Amino acid sequence: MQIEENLINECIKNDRKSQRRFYEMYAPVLLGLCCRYTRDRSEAEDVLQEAFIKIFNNLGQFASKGSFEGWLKRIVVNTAITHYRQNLKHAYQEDISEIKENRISGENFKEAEFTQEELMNVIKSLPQGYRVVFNLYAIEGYKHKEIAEMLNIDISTSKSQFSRARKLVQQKLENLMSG
Amino acid sequence: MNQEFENIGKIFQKGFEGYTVEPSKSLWAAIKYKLWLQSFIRFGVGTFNVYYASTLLVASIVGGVAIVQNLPSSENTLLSENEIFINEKLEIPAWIETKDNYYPQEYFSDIDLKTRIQNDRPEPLNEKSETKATTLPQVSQPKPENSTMDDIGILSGQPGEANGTGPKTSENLTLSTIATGNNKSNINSDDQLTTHAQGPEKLDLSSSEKEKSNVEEANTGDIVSAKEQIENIELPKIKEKETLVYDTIIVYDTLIYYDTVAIHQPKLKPRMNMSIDIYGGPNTSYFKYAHAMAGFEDTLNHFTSASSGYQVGMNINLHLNRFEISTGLSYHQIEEDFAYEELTSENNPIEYWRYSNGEPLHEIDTVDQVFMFDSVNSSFVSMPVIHETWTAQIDSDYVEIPSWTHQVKNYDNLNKYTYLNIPLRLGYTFYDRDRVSLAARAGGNLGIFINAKGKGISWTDHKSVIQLDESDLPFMKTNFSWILGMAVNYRFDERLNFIVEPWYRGSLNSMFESNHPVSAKVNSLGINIGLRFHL
Repeated sequence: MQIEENLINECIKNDRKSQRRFYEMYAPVLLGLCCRYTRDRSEAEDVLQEAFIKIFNNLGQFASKGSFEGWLKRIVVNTAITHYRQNLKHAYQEDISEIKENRISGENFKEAEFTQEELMNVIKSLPQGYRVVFNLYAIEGYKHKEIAEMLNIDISTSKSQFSRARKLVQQKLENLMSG
Repeated sequence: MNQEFENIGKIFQKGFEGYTVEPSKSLWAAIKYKLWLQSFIRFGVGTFNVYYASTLLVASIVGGVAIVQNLPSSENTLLSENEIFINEKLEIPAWIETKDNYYPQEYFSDIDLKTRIQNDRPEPLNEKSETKATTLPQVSQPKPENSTMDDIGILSGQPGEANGTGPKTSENLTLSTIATGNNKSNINSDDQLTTHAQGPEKLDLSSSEKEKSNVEEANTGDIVSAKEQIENIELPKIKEKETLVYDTIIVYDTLIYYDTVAIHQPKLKPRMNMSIDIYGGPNTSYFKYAHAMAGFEDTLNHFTSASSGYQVGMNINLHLNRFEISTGLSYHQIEEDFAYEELTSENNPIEYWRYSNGEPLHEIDTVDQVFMFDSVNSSFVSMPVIHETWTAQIDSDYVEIPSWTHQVKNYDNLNKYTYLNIPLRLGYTFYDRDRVSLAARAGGNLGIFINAKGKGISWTDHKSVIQLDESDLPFMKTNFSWILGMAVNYRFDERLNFIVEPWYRGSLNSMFESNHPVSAKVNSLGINIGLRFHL
């Protein structure tokens, strides 16, 4: 922890070597996070680049309260959301009205094991809006109210998008299991 | 939350535990470049940045121009050592001094200042140049009837003598001289040349009278020198010498014979004076907000926009030839449009449900009220039987009506931030012809915060509206910025100028204290219009 504090202090002073060490320490984890919110790796790296600039600019404002990694992730997620919102008008809206109403039991997945690659493919296959809401709600643990504020949408929209995303995910996991 | 979702959520949460992706090698290089660019654009005392670079660039340009202007002309350097032919276009001074007074140069426009000195002349006088400083103003006076020079004989033609009547010129004459020996040109062409002819009795030739007479003897023929002509003209009294203000340097060049008029000003004597500007004008200010949370940063930038403010002030300027240093005081009102929709929610005491075609959001609900007041629609709603349990499947047509009343308040007002500015700038006049001059000015500005009025978005909840003057926003008491300007001066006369100056000012620090989560930088573009009084 002491090493981390020293490293942060050096980064605040714009010491490039320390900033590089900091980057090497956190970039892989944060890039993994970015990949879940973006369509491809190139877009994820763009988001991470923006996020690191914000992180270095605002390191001095980290109040040492709570998890530092949590603070970093929050900045990355916010950057990813900004990126999503900026690209929203260009996004292709997939028609997902045809979701089969199969009743899928979550019990089926109890013992199932999926690789990280498989899970990532499932997430990436989701339409962009659903992917963001699913990530925020199911994995990051944000509440619908918070998601609505972050994405500037209604709570009901957040809930419905998540509901549909969940169904899509269930279908895809079923498909993976059935082979 | 049902079991299905919990399982799926856990699958993903567990699956992505410790999930990492190795970034590409070029990513750090891109981040490093952006960080460098950012630090280059931002001002920092200890780091080389765009402000230092601009200062260096401006200094280099100014230095370069100054050096180029002082370089000898290529014509002179190409001449042989034994014969130097100088053919410089010289600007005739506005005033010419005679024995008793100063007169507008146009009175002598018919005198040809063309002089030729040949190799066979006696050795020039070795007296060093005499320099004298006087003062002379530039005023326009009507040309008197009796001052025409048409009927006056000019230098007559023997070799080595001042020669012939030259063309009538009012602004520029040609001074042509051939000098012998190793002496290089003694005549420079300063575009600001201000000089006057000098009568023979003022020539302080320290060489002996004998030498002088030798020279006179060598010059055969009737010579009526230009200065003699000047002395012979009957001129009206215009102004006493003592009241004149222009500084000039008079040089009696001993390489040129006394019967020639030497217009020679090797170097301009530094001319220093002061002036006062009184100005005012509109400006537009652009706010750039920043916050660690991207969403709030976007909100701040989205709901605010540039608006027009104004500035009035006074500067005092110290002029040194083409340079000027100025400082002063100005009252600057920066304005910002704040157009915001504040969403407020009021919790209703009673919850109820209503049929709708909306999305499914509940499964089982119990209604235990018969009547209730719908505060959204301002009416009473009748409800089903008390204590009856409604069961609805997911994807039913029921939708929850939130137990909140939402209100949208529209704000569209003008925020006003007032500063007292103290600028310090360096200027350089790079164009000065007739009555118009152009000067580039650059420097710094210290802004002293006076007050802020208007509305803003709370930095704590990121959505409610606050009053700027009633909140505890930590405004910086001082704000530093850089300024660039391009002043156009129009001279009504020597004392009064009309000035128009477009300017740009970039903030170097946030208007809030550094520990405040929100950063706001203000850049302004404006124009000052005013008057300059030379003291």
